[in-house]
Amino acid sequence: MLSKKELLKIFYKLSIELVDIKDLKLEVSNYYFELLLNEYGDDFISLLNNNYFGKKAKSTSSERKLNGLIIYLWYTSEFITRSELDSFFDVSDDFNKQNEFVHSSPVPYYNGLVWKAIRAHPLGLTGGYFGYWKYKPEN
Amino acid sequence: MDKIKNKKYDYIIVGSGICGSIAAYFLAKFNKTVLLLEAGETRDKDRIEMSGRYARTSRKTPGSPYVKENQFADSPDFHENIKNNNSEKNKNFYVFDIENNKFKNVFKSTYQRITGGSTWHWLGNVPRFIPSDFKMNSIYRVGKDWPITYHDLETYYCIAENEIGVSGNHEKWNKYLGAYRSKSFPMSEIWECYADTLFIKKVDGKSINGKEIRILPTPQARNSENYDGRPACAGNSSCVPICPIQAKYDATVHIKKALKTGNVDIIDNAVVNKLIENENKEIIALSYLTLNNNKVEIDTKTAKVILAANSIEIPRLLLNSGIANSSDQVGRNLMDHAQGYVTALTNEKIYPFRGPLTTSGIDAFRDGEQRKELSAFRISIGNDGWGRIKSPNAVVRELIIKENLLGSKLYNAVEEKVTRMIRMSYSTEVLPNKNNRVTLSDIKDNIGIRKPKISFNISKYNADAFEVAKEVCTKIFNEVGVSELSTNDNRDYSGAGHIMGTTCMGNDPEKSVVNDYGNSHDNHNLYIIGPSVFTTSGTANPTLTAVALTIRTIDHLLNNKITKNEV
Amino acid sequence: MKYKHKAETRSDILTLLCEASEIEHGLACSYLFTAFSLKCEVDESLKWEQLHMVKKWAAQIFFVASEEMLHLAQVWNLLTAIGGTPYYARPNFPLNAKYYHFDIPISLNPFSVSTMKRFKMYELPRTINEKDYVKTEFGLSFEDSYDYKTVGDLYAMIKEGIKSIPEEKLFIGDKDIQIGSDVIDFPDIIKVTDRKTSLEAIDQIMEQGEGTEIDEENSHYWIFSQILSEFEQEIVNDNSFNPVKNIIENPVVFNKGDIDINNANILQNESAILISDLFDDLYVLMMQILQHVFLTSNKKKSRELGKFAIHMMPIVIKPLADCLSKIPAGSLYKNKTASPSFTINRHVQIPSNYDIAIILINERLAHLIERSEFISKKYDLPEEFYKAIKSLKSIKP
Ligand SMILES: Cc1cc2nc3c(=O)[nH]c(=O)nc-3n(C[C@H](O)[C@H](O)[C@H](O)COP(=O)(O)OP(=O)(O)OC[C@H]3O[C@@H](n4cnc5c(N)ncnc54)[C@H](O)[C@@H]3O)c2cc1C
Ligand code: SF4
Repeated sequence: MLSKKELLKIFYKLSIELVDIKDLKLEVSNYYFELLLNEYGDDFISLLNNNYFGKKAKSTSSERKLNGLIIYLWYTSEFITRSELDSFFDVSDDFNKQNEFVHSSPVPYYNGLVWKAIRAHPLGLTGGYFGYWKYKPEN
Repeated sequence: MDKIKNKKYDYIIVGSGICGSIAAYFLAKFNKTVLLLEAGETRDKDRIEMSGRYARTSRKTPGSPYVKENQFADSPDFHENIKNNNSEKNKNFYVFDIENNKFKNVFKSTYQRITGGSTWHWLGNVPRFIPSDFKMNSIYRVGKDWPITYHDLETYYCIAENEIGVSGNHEKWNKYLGAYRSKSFPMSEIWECYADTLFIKKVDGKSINGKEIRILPTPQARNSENYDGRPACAGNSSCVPICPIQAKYDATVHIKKALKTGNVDIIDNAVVNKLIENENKEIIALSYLTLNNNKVEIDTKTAKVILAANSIEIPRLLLNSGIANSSDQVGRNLMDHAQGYVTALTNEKIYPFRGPLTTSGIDAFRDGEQRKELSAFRISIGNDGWGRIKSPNAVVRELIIKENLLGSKLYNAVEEKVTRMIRMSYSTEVLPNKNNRVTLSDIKDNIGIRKPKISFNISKYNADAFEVAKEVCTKIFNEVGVSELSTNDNRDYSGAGHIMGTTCMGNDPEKSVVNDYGNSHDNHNLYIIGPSVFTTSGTANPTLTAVALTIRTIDHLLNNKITKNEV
Repeated sequence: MKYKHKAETRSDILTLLCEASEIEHGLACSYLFTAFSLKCEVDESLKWEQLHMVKKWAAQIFFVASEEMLHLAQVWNLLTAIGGTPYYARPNFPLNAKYYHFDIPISLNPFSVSTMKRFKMYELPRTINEKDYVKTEFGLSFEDSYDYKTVGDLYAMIKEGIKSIPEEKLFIGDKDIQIGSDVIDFPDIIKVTDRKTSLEAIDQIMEQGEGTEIDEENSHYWIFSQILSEFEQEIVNDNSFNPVKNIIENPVVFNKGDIDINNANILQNESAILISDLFDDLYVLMMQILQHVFLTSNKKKSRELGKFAIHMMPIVIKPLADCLSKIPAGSLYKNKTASPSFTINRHVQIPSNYDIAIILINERLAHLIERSEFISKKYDLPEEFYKAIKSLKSIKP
């Protein structure tokens, strides 16, 4: 059995691997860990274990799904619950989040990778100063 | 509270939205005493916390910052977000009459009940109506004529722009579409976003469908400099649903100013549910419900009552009270702007989601002969990707589940796509129609007041305009250089949140609810302000016009002290 | 002008306008420096509510800085209207104490209570006595020996001077070279062609700085006061609140004779020195181009040049400042990081002839890009550096 401390580390490392971005915020990682643990329990633990013991992370479909939603979480801070999983992965469907999920803090949202990727800023947190939007992004 | 209850006021205003609070401010400024009754709660101090709630929730709607446990006065905006609303009875805030609806959508426009009203979540675009909007019947033989003209309102437009704090370009707007401006905007325009600069380069000045295309900076209730003690817009890009720094105007500005005069009292969490008249058709009392469902009655014999509770709640209150409806027009002629969109990916990256959600528009199609047959429309250029059609999150999801991307490939693919996403939306004019209406449902809301029942259908006049608007947007996009053009199904339009027309004004007491000053034809001490008094809806966002009309009403009540003071 | 109390001749006015240019320019840099010093990233040790507040302050200070740039541009229009040329020179930071009439010199400091008090002093309404303000806020007192005490006073003198000289005699500049909002991204800029427009231009500058009676709550003075009081309140609420990056103040790349060396911090770390120097040269190039734009009558081409120069600010200059704040300043400064020095190096004015100007600009730019490539190869730098250089290459004059 790996200790929680170790699992947290593995999750952080796995996250970095999945999104290929090094400076993920540890505080957010630890928070996501708790969310995932609560919702996905053993499946989540086994994903981390397999990852740690060198089994290919993408092996089973359920692990692939978990990986997918971890990536989605880091990008958008939107947390997909078990009951939403099928519809989230249904390629024929426009996924509409039904259950409202409210994080305890805005920090995960502010750290969403999607904003960085599109060279904007989280909506609701200014990108700088009056008029910056007239120019190309600085970052 | 008792002190307030027993005090005699010159005016009692129901609703502290933009119209109610500006009315209160001007009355108080000229030494009238005012009681402001507000259904919602006062939450000025929660601005940052509410911005945080928006960030925390996974459902980002115009109401999401404002959700609170045990909301007292419900509204469509809150309702959408509350949990456990799955029972059929409670699913929607409105009760819909959908039997005859050939369109896919029901009426979706929302409003807010909070001190300050719906301007908390509005976008803040404030173009004026144009002169022909007031004369639809005499010029185009459709709709109705207003009892007033653009000219009657022009001075009040200037005062309204000054009060709200509007940023705009006077040179570009003065006399455009016949709308002269006697004063320039109090602030210069909000800078256009990066995408607009591309539109300006590629299409400005070209002719499309016989009209010269001008990419115009939309006048906005958003600061381009420090104004009224509020900061310049810093591009938080969350105007809908909340501006964290109040660079966007909301009505708490005027509530604060009104309270500062010392002539105004405000009671929040007070849902007015009944007006009572005597045999002389005088409103002698009104009652409201408070937090513990206590009912309070207020004597209004020596006061004038002004309803400013918005275009759904005003008819709801009047119908519930059986008042001011000898014309049978209360609740009828419900209007909105029926909207559709065209989306695309630009060849060049345009980096959306930076700055206000839209900064420019194309107004050339807001007038012209075609209005005889089909609606005019206003086009706005989005700065928010595909808006409600597809969010950046949805793009991320698609790339993960359909393309199996991860790591830097995903990152680059997200950038590649989202930085090119653009939409143009068009808003068409819904003509007044007696069958589009608000009535009372037998179902009651959480505090026992009958819910508003909505019948709303749009006509061929709009559907035909959708076709033309799509064609125009497509041509414009082709000039700009895009791929993946896509538009909505014509039966699938959306509302604009511009709820108008349910207590329309007119000269004929048999065909209208109020006169041009908003005075009820039936009840002489009853006034109505807000977009509900509109005769027709034009294609401009309604609120500036509603405020100009409000100031005109109050000026009338103050024997023109406002306009005299201006001079 | 220090020997005179009134502007009486064209030359007097030109001198005062040059002084105004220097001050506006100096203040703009000083404000920018302070805005750059605020922690604005989600990552930096602030509570999220505080991040909102700090970002708002930064946006507000940037806004005031941009209005100072507008004032500079406006003064340039005034200069060319009466036969002068645009003037971008100014003394380098930190200034010698008595260079201007302010009791506390303009310098480059990170955000702090005293920085904000100093900013308030520069924007003091004329109804408040500067000596009293400095005494109460800083506990300092000075001899009163100058002809004007606030920026407002300076402009008042310029106004009087303009009014005292016959209009047709004074406004001899080429009207065609006046710059309007069609060329430069300042929607409020006024073209100056006669007495009326010149007075309008000056009134606008004065209002934005110190405000008018009805509009005072939007003045620079008020904005700084507001930020200061929010800051002081937040320190009370949370004594661990620290919104400021750990950067050095008054950085300089080389010891130049004109500065107050006792208050300067010479950068030691090699990469910081090179980047800071590059920053300065890019910034000076930007100023030179703008000066050219205000001098030339070739509107169409200068428009493109003006756009290029303005674009440098958000996408090159600012990221480079952010980059500097992530690089150590040198061993003398312990954990502190570098910051931009805004040093103006001696250089010629770019001539008004476009064909010559563009050669100079392109050559200079090519050199600077070359230098930046050298730096990128030599050091492992924060990502802001690479982005700034990529952005620089993506825009063309
Ligand atoms: C998402 C969105 C975006 C919008 N964007 C724009 C835009 O860009 N431009 C534009 O012009 N318009 C826009 N609008 C429309 C705009 O918000 C409204 O036109 C405007 O706010 C109406 O002002 P009002 O004062 O009449 O009503 P409201 O602002 O709705 O205020 C009514 C007040 O009355 C109170 N009230 C209601 N019932 C009662 C009662 N029974 N007793 C006591 N008090 C009561 C409410 O709580 C509320 O405070 C938008 C709307 C939405 C939904
Ligand atoms: S863009 Fe941001 S700062 Fe500007 S008005 Fe909208 S929310 Fe406020």
